[in-house]
Amino acid sequence: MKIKLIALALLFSVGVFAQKLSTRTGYVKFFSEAPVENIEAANKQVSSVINTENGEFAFLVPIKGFQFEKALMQEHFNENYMESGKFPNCTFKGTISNFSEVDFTKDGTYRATFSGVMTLHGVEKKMEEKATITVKDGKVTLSSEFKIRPEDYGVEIPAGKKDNISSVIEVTVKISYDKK
Amino acid sequence: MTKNKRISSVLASALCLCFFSTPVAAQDDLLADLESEQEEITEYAFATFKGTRAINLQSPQLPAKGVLQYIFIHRFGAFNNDYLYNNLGMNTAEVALQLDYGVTDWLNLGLSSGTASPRTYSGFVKYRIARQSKGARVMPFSLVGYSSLTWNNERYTLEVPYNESDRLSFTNQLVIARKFSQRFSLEVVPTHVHFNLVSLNSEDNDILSIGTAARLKLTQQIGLSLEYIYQINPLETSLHTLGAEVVMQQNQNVLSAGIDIETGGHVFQIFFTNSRGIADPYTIAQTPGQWKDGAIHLGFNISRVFTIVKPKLPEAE
Repeated sequence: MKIKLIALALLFSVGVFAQKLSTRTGYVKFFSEAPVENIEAANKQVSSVINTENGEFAFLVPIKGFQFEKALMQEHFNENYMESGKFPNCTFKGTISNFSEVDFTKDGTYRATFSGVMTLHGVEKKMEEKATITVKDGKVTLSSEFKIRPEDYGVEIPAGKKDNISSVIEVTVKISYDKK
Repeated sequence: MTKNKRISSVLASALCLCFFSTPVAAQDDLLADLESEQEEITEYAFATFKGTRAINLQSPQLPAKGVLQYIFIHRFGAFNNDYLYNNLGMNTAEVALQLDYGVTDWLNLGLSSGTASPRTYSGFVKYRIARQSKGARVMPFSLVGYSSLTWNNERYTLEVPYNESDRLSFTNQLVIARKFSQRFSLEVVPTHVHFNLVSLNSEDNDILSIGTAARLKLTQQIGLSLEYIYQINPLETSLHTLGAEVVMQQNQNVLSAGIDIETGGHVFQIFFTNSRGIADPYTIAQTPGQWKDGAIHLGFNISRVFTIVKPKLPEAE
């Protein structure tokens, strides 16, 4: 009887939590190509969650987690551009609009579109981008490449820095999820 | 199994179902979940000062690991020292070059060489003891130690017996700094200078002083800085020349004010100061001029950093 109860409880708990895929070690990289220098920074502290029942999707990127090749660039990025003391996180909240076409339990590669609101540098902006969701041996990975314009998010690049920092930044995201 | 037991079992299951499914309804907002799950991290204060020097004093900044820094330190002659005749102080200018390297994020080693007043070679070690932080670990200020050794390379003016070690002097500083806000930082720097040889018996070999410097950030690239070094037991003589001759000199406290301009890998510090010496012991303990007499030097420090060893960026799995 007790065993039955526990089994039942386990069954329900698994059933409930299996709807969500999440991680705290997602990867995001950005790249800026400009005449004077190329700038690259990577961050492996992205937390993200997908609700596989309704396609809801969110991620959170701590800005101070970006690592640069040059320490001074990292300092300028935090202090002058992203003002990470004031705006510590970049967040996204939205849905995978065609999530019904993605079978999270079946191996395969799926094209997905996610749309929602991204908040960066304290500025909210709607966005819709394409992503690839790969399911392999039950492991779900989301990868996407898109471009953002710093000025859209109120990040000003002074005139003297236009040759150092591109007005369009290429972003690469790769997030591997664990079942929760 | 009796009928009663079966019913209770079903009831229990139903209860279980209710219990375990509640979290689903409560966890509607995925983003709020992520935010609440975010671990409290330790946030370190950065860019408390712009350069590794406030003006004459050390700042709490160290170059990052693998970064080579080059500082060109320049001081024109004083305004009250025949300024026009001396080509706007250029004729009586002092220059020093400093090269230093970030061995780790907390250890910085460097060498420098300066011209007259007096001619010197120096070596230093600068190390971070504690870093101002908030969040998971709270530390109200940064602590940085600095020790330098200075070799006075002047020639002895008279044939007198001397030991080579008489040329040496030492400076020890403890930088206690706090970034109060995005704009304002302050440091207090207890300083100890030791001269192996002084001129008079009545003088101390160990000169104690308290330095303080403040920085006010005006724009992303420009900041104001102000610095004062108060000597507790000043020397009574000049140690610029070597030899038997004793030159009496009233040594003043040092007041400096300037602006910092930052452009990419450079920091330009342009300032006014009454200190003439460039090597630490002479800056701190050998300043004859005073502001009120116009013994003010226009000076600048220009630094440039080169990343020698690039840190490894995180990679995707």
